[in-house]
Amino acid sequence: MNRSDSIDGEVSEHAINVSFAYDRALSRRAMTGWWQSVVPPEPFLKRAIVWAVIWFGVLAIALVIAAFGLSPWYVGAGLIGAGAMIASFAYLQRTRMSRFWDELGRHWDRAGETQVQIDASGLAIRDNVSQRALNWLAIDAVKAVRGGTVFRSGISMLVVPDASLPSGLRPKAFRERIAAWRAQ
Amino acid sequence: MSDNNIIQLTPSFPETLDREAAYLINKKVPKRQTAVAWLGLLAVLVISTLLVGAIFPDKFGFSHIIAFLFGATFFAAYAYLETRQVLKTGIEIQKTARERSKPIVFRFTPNRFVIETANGRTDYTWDAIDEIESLSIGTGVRVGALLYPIADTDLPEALSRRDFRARIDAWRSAT
Repeated sequence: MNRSDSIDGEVSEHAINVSFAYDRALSRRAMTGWWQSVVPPEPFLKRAIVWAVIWFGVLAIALVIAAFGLSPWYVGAGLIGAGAMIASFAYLQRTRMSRFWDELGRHWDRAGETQVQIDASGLAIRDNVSQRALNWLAIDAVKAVRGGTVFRSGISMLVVPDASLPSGLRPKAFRERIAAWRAQ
Repeated sequence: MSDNNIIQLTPSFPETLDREAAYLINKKVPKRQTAVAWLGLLAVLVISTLLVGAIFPDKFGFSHIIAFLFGATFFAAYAYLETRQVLKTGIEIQKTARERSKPIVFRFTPNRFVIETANGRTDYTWDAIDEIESLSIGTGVRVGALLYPIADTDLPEALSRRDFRARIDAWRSAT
């Protein structure tokens, strides 16, 4: 049994201490995980069926239009119109969100490094400008994202990067321990 | 006198303020950027119409623009409804979380803004506050992506919105 196994397997009352700086890329991914903890993504099969229905509908409209003697190219034009709108909305969303992350980044410039202590009682979060203590009842969801673990409390979130975990504590074991603490 | 140095209140979180908070980030996008985006859309509309018209002159006429606009409107309507739904969900989960964390108390002191709830305690120095916003029926204290709304009616009696604002502005700039 190597050292990391023993740390991972421990049913511990010990606190886990981590500290990390703001990571914009990770925060972006965390935001997705945050949202998925509110509205879980639909299963693949369901999404596939929905898309099949949508395209079948488009095809049906094309056929109906053709039956009335109109060119089915109208459907093509409609699709291009929707596509143009999707592109503009995507662009707007991007600028909006990058603005959002800039704002957050500015906050973190002052906040500096975040130190988090996680134990049976909850989370203690501390940085240069603030101090939060949340017990587990305040945590609505814990969600894994690529490179980190997201804690959601209401609409606020905290993302603990995997890289900040104590050496020997694998992200999965970390989340298992949290699950056990939350279940208490 | 301690009264001068502590403002304590129980926030009522009216939905109006939550909705304004949700739009706060939109407000921060410069108008120019939004204008550029919509002009870009218009350019895309015109160019793609001309392009398709040039490639398929026999199949694609001016009347297709109507179909094009129909498609665009259809997606815009969908996006609008979707955004509204997302917003509603956000407000909903916030409400649920607050309901569970009651009682909630906001306390403003010369050095700090403290939020005490049944499930936790948040303690901000004034340095943590990014912005103090004037809202329609209250004041918003923004920390990162979070906006703490204080409705005018939440304020202690004898404290007007202007006095409140003046006092917290003074505390904030003193640190």
